[in-house]
Amino acid sequence: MMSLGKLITLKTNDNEEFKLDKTVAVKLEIIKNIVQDVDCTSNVIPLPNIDGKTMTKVVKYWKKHSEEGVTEVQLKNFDQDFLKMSHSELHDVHLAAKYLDDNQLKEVIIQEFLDRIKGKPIEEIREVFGIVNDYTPEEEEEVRRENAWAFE
Amino acid sequence: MVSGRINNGDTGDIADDHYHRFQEDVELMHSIGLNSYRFSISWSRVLPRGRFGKVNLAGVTFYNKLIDSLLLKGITPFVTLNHHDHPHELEEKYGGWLNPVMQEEFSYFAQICFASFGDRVKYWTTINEPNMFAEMAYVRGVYPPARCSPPFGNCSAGNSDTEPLVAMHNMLLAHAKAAKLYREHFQPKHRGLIGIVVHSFMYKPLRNNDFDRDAANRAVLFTAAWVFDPLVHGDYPPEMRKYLLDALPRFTSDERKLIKDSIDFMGINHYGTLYAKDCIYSSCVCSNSSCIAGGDHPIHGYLITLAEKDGVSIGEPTGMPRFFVVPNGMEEIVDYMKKRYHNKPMFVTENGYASLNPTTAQADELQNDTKRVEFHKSYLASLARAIRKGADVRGYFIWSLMDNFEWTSGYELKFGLYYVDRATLDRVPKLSAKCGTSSKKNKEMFLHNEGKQSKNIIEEINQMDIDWAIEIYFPEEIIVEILIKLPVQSLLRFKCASKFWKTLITSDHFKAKHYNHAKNNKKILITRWLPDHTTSYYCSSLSSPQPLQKLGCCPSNNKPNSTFGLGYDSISDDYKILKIDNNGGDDSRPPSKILALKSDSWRKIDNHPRIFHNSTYRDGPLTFVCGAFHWLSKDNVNNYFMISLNISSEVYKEIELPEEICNIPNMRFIKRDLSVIEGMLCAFCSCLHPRQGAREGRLRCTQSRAAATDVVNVGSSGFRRRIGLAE
Repeated sequence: MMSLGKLITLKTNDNEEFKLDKTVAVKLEIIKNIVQDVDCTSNVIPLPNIDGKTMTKVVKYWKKHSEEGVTEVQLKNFDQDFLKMSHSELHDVHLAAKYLDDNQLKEVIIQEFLDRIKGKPIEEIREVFGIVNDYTPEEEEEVRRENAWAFE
Repeated sequence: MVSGRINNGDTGDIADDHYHRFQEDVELMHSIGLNSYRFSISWSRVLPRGRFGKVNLAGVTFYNKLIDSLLLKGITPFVTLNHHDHPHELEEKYGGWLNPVMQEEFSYFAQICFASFGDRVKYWTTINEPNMFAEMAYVRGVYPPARCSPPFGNCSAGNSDTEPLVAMHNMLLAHAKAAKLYREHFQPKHRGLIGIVVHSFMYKPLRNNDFDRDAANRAVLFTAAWVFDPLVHGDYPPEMRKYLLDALPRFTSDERKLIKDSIDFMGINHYGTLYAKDCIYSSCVCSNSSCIAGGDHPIHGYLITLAEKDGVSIGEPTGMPRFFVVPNGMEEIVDYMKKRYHNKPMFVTENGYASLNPTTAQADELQNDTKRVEFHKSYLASLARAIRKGADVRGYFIWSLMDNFEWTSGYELKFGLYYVDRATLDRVPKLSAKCGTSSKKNKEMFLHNEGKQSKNIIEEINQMDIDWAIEIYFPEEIIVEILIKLPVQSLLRFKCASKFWKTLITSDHFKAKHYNHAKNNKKILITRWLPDHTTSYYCSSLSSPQPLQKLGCCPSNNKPNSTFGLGYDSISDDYKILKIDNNGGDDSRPPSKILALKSDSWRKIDNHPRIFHNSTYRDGPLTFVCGAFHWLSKDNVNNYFMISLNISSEVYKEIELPEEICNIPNMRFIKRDLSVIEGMLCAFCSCLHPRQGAREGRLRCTQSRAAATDVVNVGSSGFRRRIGLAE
């Protein structure tokens, strides 16, 4: 185990390094576990599944959410801003959160996806999820008819 | 293990010592981003003496620990029950798979496994490569029990022309019995899938003529279809019967029923492609080492398979003598399976590359396995083409995680992403494992394939810069996580997104998850009224009749003569329940109450313009259509009218009923009500003609709330069914 107060370095798969105060890092289960596992001589934790662009976002989120004295409202505003990214970026952050075992961040992103698809026409849903429509027009019409009330 | 036939005198006693190092190995899988691990449960380890002996608890504990560690890391266990070996005692006592008693032995073993691990294992395969096992053990006699006859091999006993057919027959029935057991006793609660894994080479005609084209076709029929045809269609391929005649065992009609459709998915092990040469109309002489003798025997379908044509080999050689790199073969075999078995779901359960010259190569040379990376890259691209053409491929497993005990080749053949130091048993990542980690995303995309069903990516190889990969890939689990939070109405709409989404949303697994989520969050999905006229709330998800459970969200003071309605308010994105008490209101004005699920409490609404009697006692819920609840009522002078209540604005409206529903002279026992038919609001009545004694039905439907338009002529016959009531 490393001594307290040290900075921890997270290294992404494209070799970008993020120095993180340990008090921030150990809030996360996964980092806590890695910190305990990591060889004492090295402070660098490799994150083989995450690239630097995505990790920048994750770290920004962590830092804000571990700040002392931020109000609920401030956090809410921050989250709102934070979530302004493309579908695919959002998805990358979700994968990272999943890998890092950060349930809170995962939930926030799932909720954002929900908000993005709520009440939207099917065409936009397809765009959000990168779905290619494999129905023939007749098949699609059939499914729409079967579930007609849901389209009211 | 009986020693003697294994390269280098190796044994599988220690192998990679996964038994003691499984935790480290699970870490290893996690670190390179694998999301599923296929392994087998050793029969001998669980039931060392078969069904009349005891269960070896230490064995069960080991698999429990392994499965739990995998799940903890988010790795899906994909379990094979029988992978070439069985308890020695069953071989001594019964002669192994040649004896039908093995069917019972196997299903007993399977039952122990389903019962012990089925709560966590959702993917089962019964027997690994029964066709390859029959070939190696009973045709060529190189795997135990090493039985064969010339010209296939030189064994002390056996009959290569008949025994493999008997062994296969018993293995197929053993599979079917285990599958039946699983489907009847375990699948309903565990919701897993069961399949079988088949060794599936692809074959091309050696010469461009009909004989060899037929031979290439027969080659698949006598290997892969030998297993899949019975388990999907209910009998062996007709061509096998044609050539093998009575040597090929027959299924009784009961057995045929048992085996037919006994797999939920097909496991395809694909390693390569060979040329096939006909031996019926031309002579076959095995001239080189890559050819297997016996082309003049029906057991091999009167053909020989070769790796060379005019001195040129079919693909780049690998460390296995008859395995060549022919990436197209993957697309072709998957295509073949898709067509022959009506696109039954498939998993590529094995595909891998054996290093060349493993004995002379240095360790670091072995670790720098660019050829393996190339191999997987090209095979995955080929598989992707098959998927794009519509094959329902749900996953892809690499053989293998690490170099291991390769049957008769011992430790010499190396297929692993990890090199295993035979002295220390240390696992050393090869290039193929390392580059896997750097771009997991690229690789996941690969199998996503433009919206077809192959989302359940099982094992992943990375670094696949496949140019057509689409921009975002959502693993199925994330989609499920998002979708379970949506109300039924949205989900029904989303069925139109793609076929895959429709399949996903209507799957029992998803419905169960959705239902649980809704239950935990006190959300009503769809109410169902039970025929006993009680007004309790029952819910089921996505209109599946099961499970039905009473939710804790209803007010406890349900009076039996209240009428309820459930609707979805798109403006507040919430479900609302309307409750109308039929009696008990002051001055005959029934108090209506609304429960919005987000607020979770009853609110009285009482702004109806005039006093009315809620005269209709419903069997079912209030009709909800076009964003409003509808019901019938009558005023003090017995005039019937329709009331609608807008679910969002909570504003009442009265709607006149069509004349022929209101005014029915000379009829008795008149019953009027509302229903929704094909999305239209319909008023109907049924009555008894006093003189003729016949019931008459009348129905009028409208597309909008404003007025009823078309009269739908309905005779009395089928009327109740038409309006959604029991006949």
